[in-house]
Formats: sequence, C-alpha cells, structure tokens
Amino acid sequence: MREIEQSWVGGSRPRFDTAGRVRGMIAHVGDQAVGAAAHVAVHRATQPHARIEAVHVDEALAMPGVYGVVTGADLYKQLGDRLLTGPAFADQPALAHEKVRYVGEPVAAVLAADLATARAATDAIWVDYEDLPPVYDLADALAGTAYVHDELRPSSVFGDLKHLRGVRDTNVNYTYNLRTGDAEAARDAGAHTVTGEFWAPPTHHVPIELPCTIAWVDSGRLEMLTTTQTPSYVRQTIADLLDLPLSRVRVTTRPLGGSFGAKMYDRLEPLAAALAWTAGRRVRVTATREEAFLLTTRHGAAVSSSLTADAEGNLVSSVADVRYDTGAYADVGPRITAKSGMVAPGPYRIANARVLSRCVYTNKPSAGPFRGFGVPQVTWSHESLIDELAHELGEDPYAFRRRHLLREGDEAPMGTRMHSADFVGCLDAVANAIGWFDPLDRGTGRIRRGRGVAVGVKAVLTPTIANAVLQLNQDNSATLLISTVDMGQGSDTIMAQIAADVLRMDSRRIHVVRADTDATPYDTITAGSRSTYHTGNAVRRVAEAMRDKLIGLAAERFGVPAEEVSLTPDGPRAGSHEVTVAELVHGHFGARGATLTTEANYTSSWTPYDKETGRSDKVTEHWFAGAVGARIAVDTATGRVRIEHLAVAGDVGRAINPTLVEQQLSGAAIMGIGHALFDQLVLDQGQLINGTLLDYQLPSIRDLPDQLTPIVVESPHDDGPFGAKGVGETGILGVAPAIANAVRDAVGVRLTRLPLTPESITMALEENQ
Amino acid sequence: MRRHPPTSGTVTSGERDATQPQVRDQAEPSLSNATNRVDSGEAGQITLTVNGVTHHVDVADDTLLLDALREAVGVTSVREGCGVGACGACTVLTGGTSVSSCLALALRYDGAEITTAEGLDENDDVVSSFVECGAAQCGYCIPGFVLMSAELLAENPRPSEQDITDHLEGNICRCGTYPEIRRAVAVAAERRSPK
Repeated sequence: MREIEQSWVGGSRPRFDTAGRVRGMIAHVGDQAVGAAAHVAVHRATQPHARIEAVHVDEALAMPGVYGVVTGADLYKQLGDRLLTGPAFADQPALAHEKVRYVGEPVAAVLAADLATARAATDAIWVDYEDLPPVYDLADALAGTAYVHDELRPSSVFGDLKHLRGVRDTNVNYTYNLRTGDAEAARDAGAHTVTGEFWAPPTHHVPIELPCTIAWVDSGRLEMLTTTQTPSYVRQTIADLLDLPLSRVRVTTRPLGGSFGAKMYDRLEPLAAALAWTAGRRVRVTATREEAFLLTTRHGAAVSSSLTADAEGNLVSSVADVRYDTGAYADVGPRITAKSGMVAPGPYRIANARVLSRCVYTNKPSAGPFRGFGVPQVTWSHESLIDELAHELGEDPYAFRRRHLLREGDEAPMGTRMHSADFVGCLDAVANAIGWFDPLDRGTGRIRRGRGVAVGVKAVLTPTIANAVLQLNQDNSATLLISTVDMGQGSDTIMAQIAADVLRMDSRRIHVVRADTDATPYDTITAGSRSTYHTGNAVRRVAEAMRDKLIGLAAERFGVPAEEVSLTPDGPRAGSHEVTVAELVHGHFGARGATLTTEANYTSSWTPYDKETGRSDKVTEHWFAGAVGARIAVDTATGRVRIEHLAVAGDVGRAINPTLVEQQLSGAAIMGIGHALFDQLVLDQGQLINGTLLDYQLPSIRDLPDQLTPIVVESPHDDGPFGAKGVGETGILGVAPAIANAVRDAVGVRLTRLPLTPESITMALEENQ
Repeated sequence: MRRHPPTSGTVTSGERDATQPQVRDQAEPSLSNATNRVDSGEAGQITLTVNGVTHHVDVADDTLLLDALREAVGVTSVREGCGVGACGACTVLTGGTSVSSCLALALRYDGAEITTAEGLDENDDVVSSFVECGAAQCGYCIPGFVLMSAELLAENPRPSEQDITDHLEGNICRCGTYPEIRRAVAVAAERRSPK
C-alpha cells in the first residue's frame, strides 16, 4: 500500500499528534493561562434533602482576596426560572435554590483572587437547613412518601416530554413501556422460566483530566473555554440561561483528557456562565477529584426480569422491570431509560416481550450518560438470564444464544429491523478466540476455571444532526471544521481520513479545527458512538462537494466534460491533461494561500416509539452489535477472579482506522473489567463514602487479562461513510455478564449483583455448599 | 512504585550548573491555577532546575511542587488527576527518581533537578517507543507513564513483563492503553539494551 493510502479509510495511520500526547505537549483547557480572573470554589450541601433557611456568607466575604460570594437566591433574583437547566428536565440549578437535594450539591460560590483563597473561604460559609425526609434509594423513591421534586419540569430540548409538565407527587420522572404480544401469558404458559433480581451499582467515569471552565464577557457576549463533549448543546443552554441570542454565546473547547460521558450537558458551564455574566468578570471554575465525583455518575440500576422458553427451547417471553436511579437531577436519565429499556430483552428472537423501564429521582448525586448509555445495566440482566436458561435446558450457552440471535432483517422485539448488526459473527469470533470448542483444564484444588460469553445490542442516538465545513487551501492542505470533540477516541484522525480518501490527498495535511461555536458548525453531541457515522457522513459529503468543485474547475481548465476528469493523489487528470491541485486553485484565484470552501449536512431520522407499546419501525439509524468471551480462573479460597483471556468483538460496519477501533474495543473492555469486578460508588445515607482515588478502585495495568483480544467485525452499513459505524461503547456492553457467566461455569454459582467482589463469590460458594 | 515525597528536610540533587541558562520567573506569572494564597505570604524563593533550565520560584509554605511547576515554571505535562498520589498523572523525576508532585511540597525541592516528559527528547527510547506503539489515546496520563518507564529502565534495563506491571501499577490510564504501554516499555528496553 502506498504511504498516502495508509492515511485513507482502512489505513491504521497514527493518531493525530501522538508525539505531542506522549510528551504532554497538547494543551488542555486547564493549561490555558487565564490572566486576571476570579477563581471559583463552591460551598456544598451537607444534607441530602433540606430546605435552605439561610446562607451565612459574611465571614467568607470578609476574608482577604475574596471578591464576592454568590448564592442560588442571588442568581435566582437575576435569572428567575432560567436558572434551572437540564437536557431532559429543567430541574437543576447552578447553585441550590430554596432546597438542596443531595449531599455535595453546590450552595454558594466564592469568587476570589486565587483558588486557595476561594477554597478556604467556602469553609467560612454556613447554612441553616430545615431537614426534609430523604429519599435514599430506589425503594424509598418508589414508596412514594417523600418527593425529591415537587413537580416535574420537562425542558424544551425534548418535545416528547411535554405531557409530563406539572406532574406532582412522584419520583418517577419517566416511564418507558414495551409491549409486544402477551409476555406475561407466554411466561405463565412456558415450559422453562428463569428469573433474577439484578443490580448494577452506580459507578464513576473518572476521566483523568479534571473538568475546567473559563468564562468571560467580551463585547456583550458570553464566551467560554470548557471541557465539554457537547459544545453545541452548551451554547444553547447558556443562551437560554442568560436569555441571549445564540450569536452572543461562544463555546470553545480543547482536546479532552478523557470523558466517557462525564463532560457533557450541564456540568460546570451554567455556573461559570452565570457568575461571569452577573459579576461581569472572567471566572475560572474547576473541580477537585472529590468534587468531580459529585458532578455526575453512572446510573445504578435494578432489573427484575425473567426469560421463558417453550418445551422445544424456543424463546417465548421476556419480562423486565427496570429502575434507573437518576439521583437528584434527571440529566439525560429519561433518554437512558427508554433507549436501554427497549433492548432489555436482548438481541434475540423473542415472540413476546414486556418491559417497564423507569427513571427515578433520589437524593443522590445526579446520574447521567456513561459509555453504554444504560445498556450495560440491562445487558447484565439479559445475558445472565439467557445463560442460566441454557444451563437449565442442558444446552451449550454459546450454541443456545447463537440459535436465537437476531439476524440481518430480523425485527427486534421493539419493532425495528436489524441491519449491519452481526451478532452471530461477533459471538463466533469471541468463542473461537477463547477456545470455547477446545477442552478446558477446569483445574483442581482451590483454582477452578470456566468460560463465559455475552452478547450486547445498543441503538445509536437518533435522530441527530451533523454539519461540516471544508476549506481546501491552495497548497493542497485542508482545514476541516466540525464540532466533534476529540477526547481520545481519535475523531480528529478518522475524520481527516474520511475526507482525504474522497479527495485522494494525504490525511495528515488535513487539520481538524477544535470545536468553537463561533466557527465550527452545529453538531448534536460527541457521544453515543454517533460521530463516526453521523459526522463522518457529513465529512464524506463535504469532501465529495469539494471533489466535485475541483473536478469542475479542472474540466473548465482542460476544456473537457466533468465526467472525463478524475481526481488522483497527483491532482485532477483527464486523458493527457493533468494539473496539480495547487496549480488549479492558484489558477482559479490568481493568488497563493486562497481557499475553496464547501459545506454539508447529515441528519438521521427516526419514527418515535409508540407511547403504549414502545414499538417503532425505525427507532434508530443503526445498531451496535458486540460480544465478549472470557476464560477465567476462580480462587475458591479467596474468591478472586483471574481473567486468563478476554476477547471482545464489535461490528463496526467498516473500520476507518483498524488500530483505533481495536483500542476502543480493548479500552472499553478494560473499563468493563472494573465494572465487573470492583468498580462502584458507595453511598451511605446519601453520603458518598469512597469519592477519592484513594478509595475508588480503577483498573490498573495489573488488572489486564493475561490475554486481551480485540476483534473487529465488519458488516458494512448501507448508509455509513464507507460502510462505517461507531464503536466507543460496543466493547463494554457484555464484559460483566461474560465474566459472571464464566464464574458460573467455573464454580456453579450465579451472581446477580455487581461488582463480583471476592467477598460476594466466597459467600455464594458457602451458601452453595 | 513512586517514591513518597519526604516528610522533612530538603531534597537536592547535584550542584547547580553555572553554564545552564538562568530564568528569573516573573513575580506575576501567567497563572492558570493561582493556588498561592494571597494571605499566607511568601515563604521564600527556591531554585528548581527543570529539564536543564534553572528557575527561581517564589513559593509559600504549602505550595505543591505540582503547582510550582505548572504555574511558575509553565510545565503543563505535569497534571493533577487525583490530588492524593493515586493516579500518577503528576509524576516527575527528581534526580532520576519518580515523585508524585501533587503530594510534594515545593520548598523541599529547593535545588532539585527535575525532569518532565517535555524534557525528554523526541528520539528518546521511551518516547519514540510510546509513539511507535500507539501508546496514547487521549494522552493525558501518558507523560506520567513515560517518566515511570524511564525510571524503570534506568534501574532495570531488562524488565520482565511482571517487572513492568509492578512498576507501572500506580499509574491510571482510563482509556485503557495498558497493552500498548506494556509493549512500548518492552520495545524501549530492547532498543536501549539489545539482546
């Protein structure tokens, strides 16, 4: 392959600026010099649920270096109900107003000459509270005796939540129902039913880069530089918050030091914008690691579910009651509740399905998006159940799954057909990789080995909008303007590869501009594994428009019809006519350094699911299909699990950059190992008790499996750019159940609560004796 | 494992090289974080030789080495990830030994020679191996891994896979680049001390 072709689609060219990353030369938001700014620290609530009687700020105000102290009441006076923001419900104030709803909620902000002074001053603030009955967990919340919010306040972002406005006396802010056939009757009539009470605890993203937002006012405009995956969303939120036209809000970003869903929607940005605007000065807001734990979490989820087969072993019924604990503020929980609820039966042919999926407020830190968007929690349930059903029927768990998996063209229980979702290929690949068909040394004495597999399905965020603007410079380099945020996944690299492939140029000559809402066009969000497909399609189109433009100019220059001109790495060609792009563009403008510009849009569409049945013939633009296989050894004396081989496969349609795809798969698998074995946020009466990295365990190099095999499966999507789809979340879906199924295989115990701690395994072994 | 910062005394490593360029840092540096407290007064001036350049830095009693490096010296490859010495993003080498700069008081490093990832040449064995092995995704934590790897190879030119794991287990890469990092360290070892 020519070197230039390595930089196109299918080539594993190195990530943009690897050398800079390795030596730490990429500047992140927190590295930017801010000059004279007010540094902000926050006083946080000590009560899980209480009415704010008074906030005493005089002592803090008197401290040298303190510019001011701002409370929720101060902001409410200026902004009114606009203070309440959120993607699904406008329920979250930048600073608590009237009530606090979780321990650690921001109550007052100190602006000071430096961060140490600001932080010291927050300790000089005290608050008089009138305690309210706390809602500590899902059981409290569903008992319906105390309510986190007096009434539901749908935001204007999602039109389909309007009917919930003003609903009172509930902690359930959203309910998704799936009704296909009569699942309860089919369960009752079925020959074999397995049931389970599953729990996946809240966890945290812990991107190593801490969040940071710098906001200032310039010529009557609010400008900010912030760590966000969602610059277009943040611009809209700030415009709404301050009642400004979008043209007077500017949101800029830098590459993120990881995110995984942590840095999106409303994090530090509403507070920074409100403070900068009301104080009329530059502010810098950041968070310690301990504070970052409180900004957002992954939903803890309880699933009560069953799976039923008839006498012939056909799947006839899936029933699931799913409860997502969304904490004090809904964030995007309602969307998670629906998008995950609809795949709670799993990627199987099942005639009857019933899902009740609820998003539930509690007095805890808010839960929001996290790699997988709620799907790992239901995958935990359906992949444990089908495994157990196979055991009950005396069938091989791999073969049993394979028989029932959805194939191309099959309709999922929620009504949408499968395309470019090769579950069978993924399952076969991981089974082969871990030696499923080979004899297994099951071990003797205290060490016992086992194998497990799991399959996952997830819908891509739909509908969404992507735009791209391309400037081809006269010297045959290019500048690509998109609002996708590179946070490690490599979008700055693969978007250039897509454009370069179309334009037959070297992708390393294409610079992708960091999202800046003054310059880069609207893009829904960088999340939900949507960018490769959606933004990638916009980039493909914008490059195709540029190719057409170049061919038109060349045809004119050559005096031939455009159909006769082709674009090559050396420039346009038509028979014996040839010209370089540099000469062509120079000739057109008569100037060096001039640019040609094109723009393009890609928007996906959907059919909203039916409110009663939860069904839709097109609930998503496309599907993610993945599978995980695990071979493990359990030390029955200590309960420790050693992963000998973990294989993770994902159908990505077409790998734009195979190396980056493999990194996404293996990186997701490693994160999934944490969720499977030790990762969890522990709360006691609303108080987070392990919110520091001394206490919160994350996978280290020591937790690597003895062997880790990422496997790229390619079942091209008809409408994907070059057949491609995203991959950020695919690898994480099935990790925990694959490991738990391997534990079941090794030692015969079925664990239904994550994580699979040594204690939980030894206790289950004792109970089993 | 990184060395815990000393609890008392002063860490020095080598005499100041009079031939090295001397930089007098501005009293009003371009602070990004501004952690020096306005009411605590300056405890004094220390000298830090960072990547071969000597800096005179005004610090307070409680100024962290991390903040002195980021805010006064302007080194941004040294990063705060946890503030408790548990993630390794703030790792620096002082006299070749790794230290969590988020736990280290700057005053105790008066006279120290400090290496950060920017200070390594792009042709350095460790740096070039990390680049070639694709051992960086978002890259935020990678400078810490690079320095830990450099320390390991200085102590143990032929580390086993287990040696690599033992030495790097205190650093967290949330993107999960561990397989590539492990490969990169092995490649760097081979490059430096071919079998």
